[in-house]
Amino acid sequence: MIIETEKLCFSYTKGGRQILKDIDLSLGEGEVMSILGPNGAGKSTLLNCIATLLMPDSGIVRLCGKDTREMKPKEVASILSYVPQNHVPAFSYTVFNFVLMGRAPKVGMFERPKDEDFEIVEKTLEEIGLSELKDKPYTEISGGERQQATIARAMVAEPKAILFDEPTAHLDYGNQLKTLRIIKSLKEKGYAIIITTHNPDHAIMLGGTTAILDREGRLTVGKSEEIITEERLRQVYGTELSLIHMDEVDRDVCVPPNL
Amino acid sequence: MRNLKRAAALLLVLVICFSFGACGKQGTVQPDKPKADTIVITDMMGREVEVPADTKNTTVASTYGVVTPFLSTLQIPDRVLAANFKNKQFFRLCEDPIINTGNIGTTVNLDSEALAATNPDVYICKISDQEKIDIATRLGIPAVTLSAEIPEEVLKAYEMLGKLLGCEERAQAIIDYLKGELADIDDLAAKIPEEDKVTAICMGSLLSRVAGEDMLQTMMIERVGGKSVVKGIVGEEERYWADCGVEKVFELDPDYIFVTSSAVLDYSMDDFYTDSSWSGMIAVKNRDVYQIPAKLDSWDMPGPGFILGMYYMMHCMYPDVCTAEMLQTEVNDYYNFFYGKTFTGEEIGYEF
Amino acid sequence: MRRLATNSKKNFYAVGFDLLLLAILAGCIVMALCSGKYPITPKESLEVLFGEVFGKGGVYSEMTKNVVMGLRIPRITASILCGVMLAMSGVAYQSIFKNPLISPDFLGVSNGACIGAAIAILMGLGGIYLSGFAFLGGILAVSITVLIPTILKSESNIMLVLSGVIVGGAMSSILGFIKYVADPETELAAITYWTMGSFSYVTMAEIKSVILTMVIPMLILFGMSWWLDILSMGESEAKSLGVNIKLIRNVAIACATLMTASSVCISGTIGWIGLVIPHFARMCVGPNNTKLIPTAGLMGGIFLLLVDTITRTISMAEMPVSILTGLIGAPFYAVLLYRQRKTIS
Repeated sequence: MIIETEKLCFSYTKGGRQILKDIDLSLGEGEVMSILGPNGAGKSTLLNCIATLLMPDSGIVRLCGKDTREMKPKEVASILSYVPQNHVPAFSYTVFNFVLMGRAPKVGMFERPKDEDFEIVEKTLEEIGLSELKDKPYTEISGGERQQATIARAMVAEPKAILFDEPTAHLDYGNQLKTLRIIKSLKEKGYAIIITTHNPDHAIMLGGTTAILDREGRLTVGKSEEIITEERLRQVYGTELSLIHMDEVDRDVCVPPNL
Repeated sequence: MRNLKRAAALLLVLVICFSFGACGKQGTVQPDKPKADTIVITDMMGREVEVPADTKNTTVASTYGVVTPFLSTLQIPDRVLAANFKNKQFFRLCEDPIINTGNIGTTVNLDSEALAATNPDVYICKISDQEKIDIATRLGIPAVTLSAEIPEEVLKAYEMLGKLLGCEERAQAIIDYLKGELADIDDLAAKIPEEDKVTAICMGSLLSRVAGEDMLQTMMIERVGGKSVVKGIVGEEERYWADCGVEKVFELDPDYIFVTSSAVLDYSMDDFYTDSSWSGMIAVKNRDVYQIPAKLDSWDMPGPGFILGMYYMMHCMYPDVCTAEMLQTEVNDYYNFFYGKTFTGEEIGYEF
Repeated sequence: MRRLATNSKKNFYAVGFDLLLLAILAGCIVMALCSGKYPITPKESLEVLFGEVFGKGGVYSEMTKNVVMGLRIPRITASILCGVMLAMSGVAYQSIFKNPLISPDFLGVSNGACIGAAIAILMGLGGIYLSGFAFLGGILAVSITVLIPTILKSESNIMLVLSGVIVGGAMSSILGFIKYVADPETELAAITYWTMGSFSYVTMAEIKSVILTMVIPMLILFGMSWWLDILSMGESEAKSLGVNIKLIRNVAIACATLMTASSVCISGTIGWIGLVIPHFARMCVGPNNTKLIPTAGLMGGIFLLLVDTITRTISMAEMPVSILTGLIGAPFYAVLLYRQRKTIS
């Protein structure tokens, strides 16, 4: 297993609302997990705990079988890359240099990226289709391109797993699909992938496993087609939703009722 | 490779910076003037300074305004290359050629480049002004310090400048004159009976500021038979004005109030009589508030003029001991001796 | 590989730009050597320089030598060094706090260093203690400035700037108090000198006493310049990239503060350079700290050298350098902001 958690508990304030309660999940090579849940359930918190950006109250996170409490940030980062929600940095680094920062786990303190690092960045940019933009300031490209650059940055670290925090948020329809396609191709390359999303269709399209985080901090995990039911969706989103099988695409689609 | 280039660029900057600081072998230095013999004189900080032995031709530059009357009264205008004037108008009236000399800065700021361009044999500055001494030394110009805050220092300053500039005779004549005047003042003051003695203070540029017990103005009051009331009051700086506050001045309540002429006042002389808060003071009630003359040549500034300030104070406090005629004679005498001409009250601004 | 080539080509331009700046700096040094009220020709100044430093002979008068070696060289060296230090630490602070609106002065570092130096003077200490105390004062000031937004649980850029205003104000009050209790005969002048920002009386000995505390942190900062890029992405981003953020951040703050403090030690507080120069340099070579730090350093050196040369040539009584850096820096900064108005929202 690449990512494993055992009885993970977390709350932001001592004795406050428990955001995560006894979370157990595991993910292997080439597996994808979509985390669904209502606003404020703690989907991002869970990702942050796995990425060791937050310290859990109790429970263990293991990466490649190793307890993260005994790992240096660098070791964690070389197994696991994190694609945060879109944000604009204070300085307008070029796309190339932005992506280059993903090589940080491979570069020593007081050292700089070497030719080898540049080559990997070049290759990844080409793979993801951003070569044309590499000398443009990161702050001046579109939201979709920025999302792709952030994914490229996660890839250049050559990790085993990539975590996506709402990768489709703030993107138009086309870019949402583009991002999902990239995620799917990453899965096929063998990365273990966790994404958080608000759209059940995305979970269905990505396949793999789906986990639903409820307001009590409990996580229900299972195969996507099994876990996503009308009953559960109603519980999560507090509204009637229909799951209809569409023959044209040969999968279930989630349809909201009329207003 | 890219790191290497960058490091090389950085190194180059460092090398440039460092190499300037480093001292290697020296080139051939051609002295501006033939190396002259030197003598050693002790300046007023007790420093021993090597100065040219050919004192009769020693040129001098100064940034210290107090020095200018000394240089003027020693009558060596050709050899003063730069001076700083508190009031140029007076020297213009004296027709002293010293007003045409250059300027290399003020008491606060020395223009080091101008000092180098002027290149005098000796540079004179205020005592304890280490930074200016240091600059002059770096330029190879001997720095001599001077202080003239009390009568004894004025005499000492003349003696030192006489030696430095080869005008010992003139310096000695001035010292003798000042000593004679001081003796006369002491004689006059001795005539005042103890029970007739009055109290006085000297105000500074602010209504809350008085001359402290160690200042020239307080010494002048005491020497001419007045009783000082500022015992224990001293300025933050030695021999400098004390900011004791207006209420303290009310509490001191002296018989006479003198106001300095050596600084620009933050108030007018009329304020004492028009501002009702001052009306309770003895000196104000008796209309005994006086500004020390003169408008163009201060009589209470560090320098030889303190003699006139003393006579003036004595005249104000004890008009029977020092009459207006006596004072006028002393004023004429003084200007005749020091500047070779006399000035009326209208010319330089005094009245009694 | 073709793309790699374009990348290194860009790099080549950046190095070329730095070399150009270096040439300009050299030109400015020669110009500064021969400007001033004491007339010295470029030929003479170079002759003295080569004669005194490299022992290459040449004939010149004693006063020319004294003016060049005694007055101008210390001033030129000090102003270049301080310009380099202030600009580089400005770049570093802006990256560390991911905020292009701050500078050593805004963070209260300069004033803090000033207080440290003033306390050292009050205690009658000098030499290495002076830079040590200046450094402690600077570190204290920057720590308080950073602490205030943390206590208020606000990460916004404006909060950091406001916090800098608070600390800066408090520091200048403390400085006023220290001046008040200082002995005016011996200490006051020295303390006032720190607050004024001037190279009038700088000596080679003073420069030598701080050269190590300038150069060593400069080299460290230069060595970790790529990591400053990552730091400027924000704390959680940097952490998720596997960066030991605490270590890098603390080392960078210590270096930048030491550089600012050392420059305060020889020249007093000089405003604007740490703010304007990094902006200008960023416009020329982009935000990469690897390129930015040397370029900003060179620009800072050139700028302060020019400003100091102007102050000592145009005015009779020499005015503090800060007056000119402000007069040039403020409108210049306004123009920069106008040109960058799109990127700074």
